[in-house]
Amino acid sequence: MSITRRNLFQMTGGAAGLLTAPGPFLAFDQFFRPAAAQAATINTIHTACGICSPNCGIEATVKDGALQFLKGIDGDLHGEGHLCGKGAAGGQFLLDPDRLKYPMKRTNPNKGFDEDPGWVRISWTEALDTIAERFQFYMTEHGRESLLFCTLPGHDFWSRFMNALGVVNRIDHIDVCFLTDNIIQRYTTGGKQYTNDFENSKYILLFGWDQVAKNKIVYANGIVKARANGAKVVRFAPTYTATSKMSTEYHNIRPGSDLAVALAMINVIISENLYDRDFVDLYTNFGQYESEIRTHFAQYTPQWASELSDVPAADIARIAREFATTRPAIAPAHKKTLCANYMNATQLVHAISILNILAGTIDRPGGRYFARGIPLAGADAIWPPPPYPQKLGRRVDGRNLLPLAEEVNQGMFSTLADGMLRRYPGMIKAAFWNNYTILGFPFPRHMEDAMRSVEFSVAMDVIPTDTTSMADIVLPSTTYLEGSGIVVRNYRATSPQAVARQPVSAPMFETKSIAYVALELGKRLVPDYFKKPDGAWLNASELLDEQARRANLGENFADFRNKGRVDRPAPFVPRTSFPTVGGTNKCQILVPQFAEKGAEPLPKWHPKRDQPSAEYPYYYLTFIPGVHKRNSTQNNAYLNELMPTNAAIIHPELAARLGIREGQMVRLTSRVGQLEVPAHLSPTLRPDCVQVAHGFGHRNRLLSKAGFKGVRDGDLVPDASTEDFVAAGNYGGSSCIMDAVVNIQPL
Amino acid sequence: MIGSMDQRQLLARQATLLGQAFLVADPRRLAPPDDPGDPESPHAALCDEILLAQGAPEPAEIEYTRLFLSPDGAPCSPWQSTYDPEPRLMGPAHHSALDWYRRYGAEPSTANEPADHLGLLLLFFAQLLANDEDRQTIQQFRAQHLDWSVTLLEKMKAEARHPLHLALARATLSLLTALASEA
Repeated sequence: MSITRRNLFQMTGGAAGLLTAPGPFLAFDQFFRPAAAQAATINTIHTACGICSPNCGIEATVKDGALQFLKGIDGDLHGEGHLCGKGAAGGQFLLDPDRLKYPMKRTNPNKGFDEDPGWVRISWTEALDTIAERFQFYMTEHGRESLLFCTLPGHDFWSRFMNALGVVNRIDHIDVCFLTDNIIQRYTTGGKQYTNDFENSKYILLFGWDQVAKNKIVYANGIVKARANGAKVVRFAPTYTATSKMSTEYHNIRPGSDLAVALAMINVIISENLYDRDFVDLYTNFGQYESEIRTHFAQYTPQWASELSDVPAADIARIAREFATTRPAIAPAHKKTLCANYMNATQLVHAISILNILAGTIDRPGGRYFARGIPLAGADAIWPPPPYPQKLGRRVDGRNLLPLAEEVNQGMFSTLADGMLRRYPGMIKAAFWNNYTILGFPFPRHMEDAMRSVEFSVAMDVIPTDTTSMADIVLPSTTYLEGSGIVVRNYRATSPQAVARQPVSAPMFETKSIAYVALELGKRLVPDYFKKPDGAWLNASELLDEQARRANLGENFADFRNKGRVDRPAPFVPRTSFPTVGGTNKCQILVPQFAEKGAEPLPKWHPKRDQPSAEYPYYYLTFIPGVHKRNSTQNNAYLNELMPTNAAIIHPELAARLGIREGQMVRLTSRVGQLEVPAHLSPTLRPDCVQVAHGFGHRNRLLSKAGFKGVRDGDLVPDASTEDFVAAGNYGGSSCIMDAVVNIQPL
Repeated sequence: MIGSMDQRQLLARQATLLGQAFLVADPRRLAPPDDPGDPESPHAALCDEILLAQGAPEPAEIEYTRLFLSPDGAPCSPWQSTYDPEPRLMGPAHHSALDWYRRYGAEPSTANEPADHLGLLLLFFAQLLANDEDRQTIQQFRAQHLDWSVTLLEKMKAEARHPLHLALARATLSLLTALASEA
């Protein structure tokens, strides 16, 4: 290139004199500055993925501060050098042309997907001042119960902010995720629900569990290694997935009947005394309640379970015997899998936990480990706050009727709309949505109505969602690639690891973290909670420094970041004391505290909520495809290319009976709604089921990749009231997203 | 027309105003010249619309946000690399633009925003013109960093609901057409 190199900032006078030139030429130096570098710089940065909780290690190649490429890190504890598709495509979250860039406010008060909100850009100061002023107004006029926070607890400062406000109604998605297992583990083993030692297991029993198909590498590698070590893997599910393919035995079970099979297996193991007697005698309350336990499970015979599940009775009995006698054995239960989200999911997860206890592999190699992490001090431990106010007010989602769910302070997506529209109409005046969209709710149409009933709402997110479209103020959020943090890995109990998350890019545009929002709103609304003893404001960098120092990860965060990661391998010492609720230090098969709280002390058969009928003859199943993260990645260009939309997946036999061809539009009708969607014929599910992937049907027309592509699976899923849950014995608050039944009509 | 010094200065001033108009939502921050030249030209029409919008800025500000920044998804992305076959922010066009700026000792004031915003590109292009760069350099920058914007400008013409932004699209297209005809 033949050009005359000039320095636009050094030249003065005449036509080239930028700074002295009159009129509009002054614009140049409003938008440009002298260059700090002459040439591009390329470097690599090690950090942790933030797509899902194992936080696999990633190496980012960065050119001039702009991310170029992501790959796994060899030797990483969780990713083992690999990234899943979502992790590898993570750069597109950062660089998505559609991402939210600046704070905005709505100028058109009418809300709805057909309304133009009339957005205008505002400063962060204006946004935060407005939010603080409006929240203060509603708290003063209508009490703390009038505020709704749809958010995970998130950063310590965010939790402190909500606690300092005395927020009564914080809602999260855990009831569509692992709430039932979280509750059950507290009472039956005292452990966490996610640390499964697959690779050392010899028998793996999967009730709907589908994390291989979800591409969770740490689990998938565990199953692969187990198979290589000769383990048997048995899977019950109505759909054949990658997890089924990795199994040695697969049973095409009737939806919602896993509980029957699990109960019958317990019966076989107990009645034939096949359980691990050493473990059960020493570490469980079996002896204390043996008579009740034996009597209770005796009713659940393999023959009985076979009639409900379509799994042959002989297979149920055989698998029970194999599971109990092939040691070590494990049965995981986790997440929005096909077993964990029926109306009877709490009982099922209780039964699965009992199977693990009977196998004697609670915190034993090849079983369900207790996580051995690296404890980090929280902000409240480092800078103790003044006493938090009491959380006075009504719980909008009615979770208080479910004491077991209330104790863990998680949920309840599934009953929120009912609470806002029927239980306490008009109670919620203002809402703050943090990285959640109404698309993630069962029956999102109800949530649209509920959102319209809110006078003032704020939505903070990375990309436009159905929720940001309905907000009064939109705040642009940073991604995990733009922030710092200490990530403790504890999916593998024998070798806990802490890794430094560090930005691969400065926060783009005017995006900010939720910690920033917490601190700034805290200063405005509850300043005493955001001051250190010397009167200075808290800050997130100092928190990281203190956490790193107190956990002996480094002198401060920068020192830890320079190390990149800290491993703390230690010899595995199996637990002999199990911190279950109730203080017996034993695993609990029969949970006496459940009876005190209106729940069943032993898992009992309950059918799923909706059964096929003449009007709605088919089971309706939703799923999260492995290439997507719930409803947040459909606009990611790379992932969208892999799976741009959804379809009604129908078995070819059923399609032939109904006269449906591949690609033909069909109408699915449930008792709450209809979807019109193309059919995809596949023999991967039972002929009495139809399946639709979650995450599609975003209502933002201008969302360049995902807008109005596909249908919202939730439009056919009834939401619920907590009264329904109590009546049906759903004391763990499962959101019942797998309970719907539908009709199918070719169009 | 690039050959004449007066013409270059005129084009530079025009490109500067266009660049500004792509970068700021509030028309009151724009300073159209007292004498915009040919009263029938698209640039003069833009200057008129700016002056009119300054009397009632909010609709123009809302429309700017809707077109370029909307949290509902913006129909007219102003960043060049979002028009690549693999659309994304800070793609190859961002790095190429950054290289151009650095050769001239400059870089965008906001380092955490893409350098290939049409407004920045027009402002920089104005400086090339004003600084008497040779024709080849000017045409090279145009080809690399301005021609893509025809897609954006045509979208703007179809989408714009405010006369200011319609005029902005037309005036920018007019400038590009004139430059291309000299290539």
